[in-house]
Amino acid sequence: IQKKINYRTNRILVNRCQKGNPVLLNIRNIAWEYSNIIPDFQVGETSCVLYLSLKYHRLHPEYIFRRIEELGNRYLLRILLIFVDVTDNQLFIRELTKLTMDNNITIVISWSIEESGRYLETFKSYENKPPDLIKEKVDNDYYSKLSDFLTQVKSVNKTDVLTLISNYGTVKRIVQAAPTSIVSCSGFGDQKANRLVNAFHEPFIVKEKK
Amino acid sequence: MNLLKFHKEVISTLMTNPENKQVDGDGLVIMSRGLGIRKILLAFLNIYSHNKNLVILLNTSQQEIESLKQELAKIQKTKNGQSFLKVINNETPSSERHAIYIKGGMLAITSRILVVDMLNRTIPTHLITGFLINHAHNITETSMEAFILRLFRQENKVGFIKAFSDSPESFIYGIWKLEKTMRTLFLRNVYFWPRFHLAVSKELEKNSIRVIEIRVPLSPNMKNIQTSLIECLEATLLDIKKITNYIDVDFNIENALFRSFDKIVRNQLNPIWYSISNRAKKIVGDLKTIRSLIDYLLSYDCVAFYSLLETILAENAPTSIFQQENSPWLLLDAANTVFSLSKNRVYINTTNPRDLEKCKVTPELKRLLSKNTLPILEELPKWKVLKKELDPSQQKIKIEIKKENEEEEDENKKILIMVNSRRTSLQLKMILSLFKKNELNGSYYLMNKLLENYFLWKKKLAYVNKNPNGPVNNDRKTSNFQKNTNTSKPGGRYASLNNSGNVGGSRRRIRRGKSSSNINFIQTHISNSINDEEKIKLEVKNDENDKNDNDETKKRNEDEEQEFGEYLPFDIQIDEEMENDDENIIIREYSNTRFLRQSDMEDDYKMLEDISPDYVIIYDPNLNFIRNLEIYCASLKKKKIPKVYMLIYDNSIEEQRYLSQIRREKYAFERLIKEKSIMSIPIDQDGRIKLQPEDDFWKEINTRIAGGQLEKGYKKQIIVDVREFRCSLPLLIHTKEINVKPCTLIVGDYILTPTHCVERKSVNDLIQSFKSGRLYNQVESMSTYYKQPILLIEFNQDKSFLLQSVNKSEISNEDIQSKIVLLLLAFPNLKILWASSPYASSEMFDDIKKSQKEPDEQEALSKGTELLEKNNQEKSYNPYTQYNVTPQEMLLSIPGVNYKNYRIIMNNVENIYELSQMTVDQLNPLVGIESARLIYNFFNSTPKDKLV
Repeated sequence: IQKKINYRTNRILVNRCQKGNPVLLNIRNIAWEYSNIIPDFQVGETSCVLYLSLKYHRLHPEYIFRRIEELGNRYLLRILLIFVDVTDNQLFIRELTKLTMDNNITIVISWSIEESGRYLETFKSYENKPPDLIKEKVDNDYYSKLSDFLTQVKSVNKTDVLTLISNYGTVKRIVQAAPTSIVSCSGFGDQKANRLVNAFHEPFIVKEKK
Repeated sequence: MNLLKFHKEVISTLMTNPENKQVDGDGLVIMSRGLGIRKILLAFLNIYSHNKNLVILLNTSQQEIESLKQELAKIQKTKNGQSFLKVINNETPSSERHAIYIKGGMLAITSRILVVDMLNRTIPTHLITGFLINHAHNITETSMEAFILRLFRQENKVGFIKAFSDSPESFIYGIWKLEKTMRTLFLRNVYFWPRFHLAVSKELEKNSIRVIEIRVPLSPNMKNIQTSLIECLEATLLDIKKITNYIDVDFNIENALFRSFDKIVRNQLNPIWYSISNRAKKIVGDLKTIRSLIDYLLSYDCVAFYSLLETILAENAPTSIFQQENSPWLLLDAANTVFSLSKNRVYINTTNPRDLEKCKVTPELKRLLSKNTLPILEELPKWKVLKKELDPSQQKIKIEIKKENEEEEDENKKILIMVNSRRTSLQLKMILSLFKKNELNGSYYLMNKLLENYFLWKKKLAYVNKNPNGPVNNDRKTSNFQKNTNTSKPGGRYASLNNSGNVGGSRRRIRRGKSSSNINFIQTHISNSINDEEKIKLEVKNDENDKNDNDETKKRNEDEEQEFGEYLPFDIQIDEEMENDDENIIIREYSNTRFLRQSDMEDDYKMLEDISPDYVIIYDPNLNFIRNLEIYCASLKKKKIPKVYMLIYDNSIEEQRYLSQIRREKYAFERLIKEKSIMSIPIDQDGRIKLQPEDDFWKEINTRIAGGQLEKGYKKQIIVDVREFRCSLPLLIHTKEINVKPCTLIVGDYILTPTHCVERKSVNDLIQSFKSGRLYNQVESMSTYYKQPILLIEFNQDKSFLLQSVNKSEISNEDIQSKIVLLLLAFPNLKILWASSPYASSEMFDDIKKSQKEPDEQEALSKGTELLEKNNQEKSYNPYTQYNVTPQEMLLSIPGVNYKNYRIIMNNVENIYELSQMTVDQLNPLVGIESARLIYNFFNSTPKDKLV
């Protein structure tokens, strides 16, 4: 049995006590199998998940304490996946946050059974994925960058981006435009034009008066 | 300072009265818009400007402060014209602030700075004489001002709090908004001064104005467009109702007219905002678009209106560069009507040669028109009326109607025209200058010019909107029209308009060249010389000559580059002389809608006083201004009051809005008065009563030491990054009896204990910073410096406690859940706090702090400094440097700028404008050649380049 836990697998290992948990029906993209493990799910060589529905927690508040105790110090990434299925949840979440903080467990909250299943799948399938997706990247899509750039200014929307670039041609010319000139673009009121021009000319560093 | 009797009455109710202990000088004054709340504020500023007081003015914008200062200086002439209103904002060094506070006087302080100073005890809170709170309707329970007043009342039980508002409507939204606001402001008294208050109406009737309403009918096309737009609005709202099953707004036209309508819809959707589909979000956005289109219909000329519609269409086209949901309203029949009628207002296609021959256009336009296009160029109906009223038959402008039996000829009568926006005022200035020179066909040139520009612009739009990924063939078809115009003329057409020989040379020259030609264009019309016509022709010829020269000297590809030149549908420069004309016709914008430029930010009332017009034409109806006018007339006493004309479109949105504005204000006051009568106000709401001594005792017990031993002076502390003072969490932490210590942190937002460091993200921030990769860096540096990095995901209390639902079938890289998983896999030690609101966050913080050590300020400050110095030894990091948020965010979205080099750029480049001017060689030493190229290309490439 011990061997089985440690061998590399591309399946999610599930504790038998989760039998009948509807979340199992929602693990669709990754195969899973029952196994003798201590946590509820083993989603990677070093990561595990404890699963808790708040409805259950409300009825059996002592349950999760026991499970955490059993888990001890095993695994590197320890997740408590909470399924929020009661409306008055803030108190529980606060309580569980305190508990897990002391036991080096990270809380992940899901609001639907599909989402819970998705989390389990994702942990497993991303097990060896490098974090490039959430790292800084050089994105060269001109228009999305352009609209990101201009819509940072309050109340400027995509229609305005189009208006500006079609009237001025280059970003440089947009930046150089005088407020009176921008006001003449359709869709630009006084306030919006002024905000835009201010954003271009406002210094990066807040200057202190001497 | 011309105070009316009721103004004085308002002031006296707010003054402390030593005989009557009930009156403590506190109170909230809610007045009708335009009745002079500003005058009252000024009066108080004047009263407290003496140095022995320390009075603080809050919630006032920089521009408003400037104009208040000017007026105050005028009132206090006797004191060497020196204004006593001192300004403290982010430009005031923190070292000097203490000295300024000690000196006393009347101070206008940015709220965020005052909070930090109060917490750091830079300001002697117990010595503050009182607070004046402007725009009280903006204050909420979690706003910065609420925090300030809380800190103030904790230490100071004597000082006064006076709050002012001229927006009664704002107090009737939500549940018990008035009561909540009063509690937040620590006020027990509220005073209402509606227009129908007896004292007010009596006073104003004495010298009342007579407004002559001129009802202008809409053109049939405009009328139909308006109806169709309203139809679209209604259909869109129904759509939202269907999609979300949630909205409960009874649609009526009256509701839909106001900006607050969008807000109501948004507020209702907020609790489920993250769970509704993108499509529904898009439709909510459409609601706003359609509503503003109704506005623009009445104020834009027909060409500008149509080009706006085209832009919206282009944005939603299948080939659009923004691949997104389409707006369903565009598919409605009504929308179709809007588009075709708007086009018909500009030009129609006809095959009848007689019509085509008859139409007269400027030669320049003629070249751009395709064969069967007949320009219609419908004028705005108000222009005609204006033309009729201002008789252009003589050199001096007169008003026809006034030719009753005036004593003297009206050589020096002043006519004031009030308009809504800068755009309208430019428009009118040009039209008037055309009338003036007795041009019968008044706006003929203007409209021709506009249409000409429109055709040029449309061509560019076609380029811009070519999505390289989308089906390009469609564009071919749509741009056929442009091709026609293209072939009809030689290439270098646009070059002359930009009036520049050197392509890569200084842009400034190009600009000046262009604007000067435009000024000429106007000036020829203004000047009263006899041979205007010829002059214009001459100019046109000149232009043509230039053009020919350029044609010869220029290569074709250069011309193409120029095609994308700065060339706007309505870009006509007006020189200073024109701006400040001391002529008889003065055009001004309303102060509440005015282009906020510091120099001309003055109150409507003051402007009336300064100009003292004999005739006032209200071109766009504005309630605020009419009230101001009433006050002005009332204070004129026996002097002759001006005659007032109001232009209003008959049966239009404009008219409806004006009327319902009056009605709504009245209703708001009636409701507030009723609310006040049943309001229960606790006796200690003013916060002047001392805390129970027992509370003090409990506060000093330290739970960290076994058995809760008493330890004097002990207090829990959280170190908070100063940038976090924009949100409400610091305030809520403070209400938990935890000390808030503001610092400029490099790593983390909140330091709870020596080991616990928190990065706070609202849901939107979270999505944004996952996208940009910022969060990864932030967590990385937290992990380096703190044993326990924590990510706080804070939801908004008004919104749902929900992340966007997951992609139905597959694991998607785009889902926020997937990104959270990746983050946790990368940082297994990271903890996440899920807080449904800032309140919940503060509770969790409190929990974590229990039985932990307090964080050390110096240590927290020092963490991460080497991170920055490594990159840039010369310009060493200064922890007190503050960066402006918007430009910083904009900078970060430029390709080639990343988290490694953005600070270097900010420390060495003044602003985005300067950055846009830099060459690759200049950028290279800062960011390296690769990034330099990317940045340069971002600013300098045209959409056309992207098609390659």
